[in-house]
Amino acid sequence: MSQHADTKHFIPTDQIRSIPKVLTHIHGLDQILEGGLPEGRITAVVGGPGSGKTLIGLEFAYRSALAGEPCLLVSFEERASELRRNALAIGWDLKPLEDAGKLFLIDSRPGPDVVRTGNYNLSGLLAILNGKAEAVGARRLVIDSMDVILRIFEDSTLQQDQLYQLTDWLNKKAISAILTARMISDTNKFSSHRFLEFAADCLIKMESRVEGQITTRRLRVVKYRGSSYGSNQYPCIISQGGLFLLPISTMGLNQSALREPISSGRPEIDQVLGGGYRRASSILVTGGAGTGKTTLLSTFVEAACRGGEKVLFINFEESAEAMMSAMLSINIDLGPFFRDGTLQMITAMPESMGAEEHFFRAFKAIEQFSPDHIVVDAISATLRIGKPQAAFEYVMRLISTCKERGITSLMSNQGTSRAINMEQISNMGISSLVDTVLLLRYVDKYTEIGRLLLVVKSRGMAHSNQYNEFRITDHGISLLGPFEGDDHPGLNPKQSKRDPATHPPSWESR
Amino acid sequence: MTLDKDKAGQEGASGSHPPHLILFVVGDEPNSRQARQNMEHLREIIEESVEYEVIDVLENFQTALDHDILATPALVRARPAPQLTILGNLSDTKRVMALLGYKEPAQ
Repeated sequence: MSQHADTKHFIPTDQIRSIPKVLTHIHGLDQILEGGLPEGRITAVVGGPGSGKTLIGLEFAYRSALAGEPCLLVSFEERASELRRNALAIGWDLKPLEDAGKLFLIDSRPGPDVVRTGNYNLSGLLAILNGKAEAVGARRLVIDSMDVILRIFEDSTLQQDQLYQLTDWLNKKAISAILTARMISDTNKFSSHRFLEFAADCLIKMESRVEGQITTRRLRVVKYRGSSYGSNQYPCIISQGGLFLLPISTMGLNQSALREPISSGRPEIDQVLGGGYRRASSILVTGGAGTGKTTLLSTFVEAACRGGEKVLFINFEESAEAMMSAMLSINIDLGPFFRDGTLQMITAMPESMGAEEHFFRAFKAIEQFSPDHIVVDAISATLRIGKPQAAFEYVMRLISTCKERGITSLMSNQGTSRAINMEQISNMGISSLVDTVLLLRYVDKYTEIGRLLLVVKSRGMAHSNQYNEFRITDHGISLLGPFEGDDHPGLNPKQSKRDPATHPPSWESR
Repeated sequence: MTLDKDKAGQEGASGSHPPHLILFVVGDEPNSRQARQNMEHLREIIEESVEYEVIDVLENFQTALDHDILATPALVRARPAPQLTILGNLSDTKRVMALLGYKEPAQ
């Protein structure tokens, strides 16, 4: 990802001459739509069953009503009572908004007991919508879903005709509308699909896929007349509180600068680091199994918590109890910090949920707890979530979220490689996103196994370029000083003396 | 379905209470005009007296909402229950009569 693309994308808000828009207040959607839905125009939301299109409509209606904008919601799929119940399950109480005259649910199902004889059309629906909209001053409307109501017309010409009448009325009235339509696949379009897509100024496609036993939902903006928009496929989660979209493209725009050095928990290690970690930076500790990664993380956690700073610990490896007792054996007692609330831990098996849910859990904890630092042990476990891409996105979003909020992120990674190769250091290509990389490894000292620590890079810090030997003792990590064993082929002899902040090693960008 | 229609037939024609019929139209739109004409025609050829109410949704959308009417024109037999909805301009007179339970006039 080049930086030029990002800067080009980043136009000051007051210089954007875009069409007028209405905010949806759906988490992340307004960012993707660069300000919301087209005001007074039609937005079509198409997607398969369970893709979340009904929820987009419902949330738009709910949040509009909450903001004091009256909204009509016409449901041909679910009864109003079902909608109210589903909304409650998400945490929205529609009733007070209905009572306050801000939200109107109109439900109807073309029942099987309806007999047809002769021609008919949707002018009744239009008359109702027109009457109701004028009576309550509604400028917003949701219809879920168009294909159900249009199905009462057997003829596709008739369907298009009705759709035209409706869209024409909406546009004349300048109503900001969401019209949903079911679509299972491209071949499964209802016959007026094309027309709906054409009539809409903004077209959003939703899809849900089940991989393993995990459902992932994605949202994509296909077109938006008169506006630019985020063109990726965005992961979408249905959770307590509503839809939750993660606009990846905003990455890197709002990152706060690296701040003052903070202690790693051991003055000797701080010295090797050139002063410590930087606050609000992201640090990756990589190394093989048992090299002391968790110990290094815990050393930091203890020091930070003792200084009264809040730490969120995301643990993919073991339970809080297991970790605490392991650390107690080297005299790191995290118990008091759990009790006084400076330390919070999220534990989860990577396989237990999808990458979106994992991220969402972390995000919720960040919002509620607002930690100063986040510790993740270990990001390599996220590879077990699913595809490598999912793991990469998880880590990338986590780092991005931390940076936006000025939170330090300290992550461990289980690597296997003996050689220093930046791609292998993280296994997932995130090394360019982190500010500091620490490598932990074993060394065969003929009579014993030694542990070594190397600062591979640390942005903005004049750090040591030497391997340092350390031990894990009853009292935690103890640094022994620079390692002198130059007769070991596994140790990298070509380590550069350049300052990596101003001259990043060329192999890093490869 | 069949059962309902049979019941409708008995109660509609010979029940002690006359059925409550509502014709929903939208202004002077062609299908609505057609439906009104067809309904008048029906009243003329049926021997019993047929009373019905005409509701213009443009003026009274709430009643249409109450009866689940979105497509128009539509003839609703609100009583006796269950509600029977005949969608369309009622061009098939015989069918409408059968649905409402009126006997065809002897000719």
